[in-house]
Amino acid sequence: MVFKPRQARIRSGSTLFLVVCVAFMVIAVALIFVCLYMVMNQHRRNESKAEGLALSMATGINRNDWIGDINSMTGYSREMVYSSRQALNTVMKSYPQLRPLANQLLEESRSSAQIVENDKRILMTHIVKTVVIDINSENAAVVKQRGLTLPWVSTSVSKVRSVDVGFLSGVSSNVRAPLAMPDLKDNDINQKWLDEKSLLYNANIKARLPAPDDDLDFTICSLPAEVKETVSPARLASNEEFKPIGTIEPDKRVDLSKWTQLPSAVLVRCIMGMSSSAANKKVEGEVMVSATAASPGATQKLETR
Amino acid sequence: MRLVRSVQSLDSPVMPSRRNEKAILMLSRCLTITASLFVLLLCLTLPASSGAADWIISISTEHLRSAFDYPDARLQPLIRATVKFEQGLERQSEDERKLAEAGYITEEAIPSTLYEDIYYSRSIPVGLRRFNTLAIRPGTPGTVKVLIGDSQFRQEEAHAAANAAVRIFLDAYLKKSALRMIVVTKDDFDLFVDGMQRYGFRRVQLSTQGLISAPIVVSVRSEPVGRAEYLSYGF
Repeated sequence: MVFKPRQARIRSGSTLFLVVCVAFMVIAVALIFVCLYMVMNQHRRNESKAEGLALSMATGINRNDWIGDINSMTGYSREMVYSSRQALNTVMKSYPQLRPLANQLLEESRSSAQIVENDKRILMTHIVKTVVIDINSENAAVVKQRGLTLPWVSTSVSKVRSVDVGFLSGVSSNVRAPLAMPDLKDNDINQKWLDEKSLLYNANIKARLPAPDDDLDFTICSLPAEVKETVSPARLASNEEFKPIGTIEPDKRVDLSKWTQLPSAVLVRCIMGMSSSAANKKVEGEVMVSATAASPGATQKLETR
Repeated sequence: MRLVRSVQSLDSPVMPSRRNEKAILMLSRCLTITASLFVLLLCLTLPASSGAADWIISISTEHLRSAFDYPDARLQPLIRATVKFEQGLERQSEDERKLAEAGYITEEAIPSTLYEDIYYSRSIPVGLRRFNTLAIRPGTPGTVKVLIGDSQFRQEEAHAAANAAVRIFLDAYLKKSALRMIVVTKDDFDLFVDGMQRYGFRRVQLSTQGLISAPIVVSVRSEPVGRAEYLSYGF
């Protein structure tokens, strides 16, 4: 069989064309994988950044154990009102000459409850300011950074959209049961405010005293208690455990009147812009990443050891 | 002979003095025996039971620097007054000590025990944490010793100590125990007395007879010695 030179040239040209096509396909697939990998990597970095931010903010809201201290002081204020009332009841029965003194000590104790509740509002304001400062400084830092730019897809650097403050479900308070007031302790156990086993007050309650002091507010928030001199550190948690109290957004006013308790956890929401262009069409969207973190637990530094 | 003897006995002065002597001798013997028995009785019985010594309640104040240090906090400066009580026994024999250990007698010395912490902000009490019941023996008198901390908030600490002393006064009174004296450091004496006056305690002067006709009187002394006041309530 004799092959003419032209036919041979056509056959070898086809093979070359096939090889080149295959090579282009392989390179295209590789490029797509590289793009996908870079986008996924960017997403993971954003997640990691959100987690770091959540931990930092959670630590900030309970810096120096402010929330633990004010929670403990709520319990102490309650004990003082109760013991002053008991003293007045005894004085009225047996020592009427001391009634003015016992009355004065009781009124002082009752006013202390309002002082502690007022300071909770001041602390809430400070927490909001701290979180807003953190959000603004983080968003200002990312302005100078560049996102990912690929042939068909581009992303922007993630920014903080909002921070929810709240608490983790299933975490009780750090306020401990009275040690030398058995009647008050029994009352609180019966009212289901105090857990009989752990001897810690439940979280997010208004632990009212028996009448006539039931008009006073003693709000107790969630915060892990110190256990055998070990303080719980700040930690990441799942979003499902998080229960919100309020939302803080940059450039938006926060309505603190809706906050019923002090927070002990944060949920940070960051958004990353994405755009894709192909066949003269541009598609834009946002990818949200979020992370939850709980603040450090309480200490017992107020008490004499 | 009998008549002579009888006449002699009538006339003789010796017989009545002999009778007196015998009587006196008998009486002295009786007295001696009684006294001996009495002494013996005293020696054989146990000594009288020990009396409870005065109780001592100590109040020491301290400024808690690291608490509530966020901006605009109204709970700072936070002062803590730590209250402890103790009560000894004047004397306790070895037998009594053994009886007390066995549970036959209840009186025993009370070691220094933490009673409560009281918290103050700007001279106002804001909280109380009680650790034990006040176990001083009812009906016994006592002394309060005040030690004020050395912080820049001297006035707040003195007022906190005064409020704590007033609360202790009431707690002890309800246990039928009288507060005899309060001892305060000399440098803080005036601030402390001013603090007590906020609760209706008034300075009183002793009359020339040394009597004060007021229902409740507390003596306040300085340590070292040099200042003294009587404060009365209900006067």
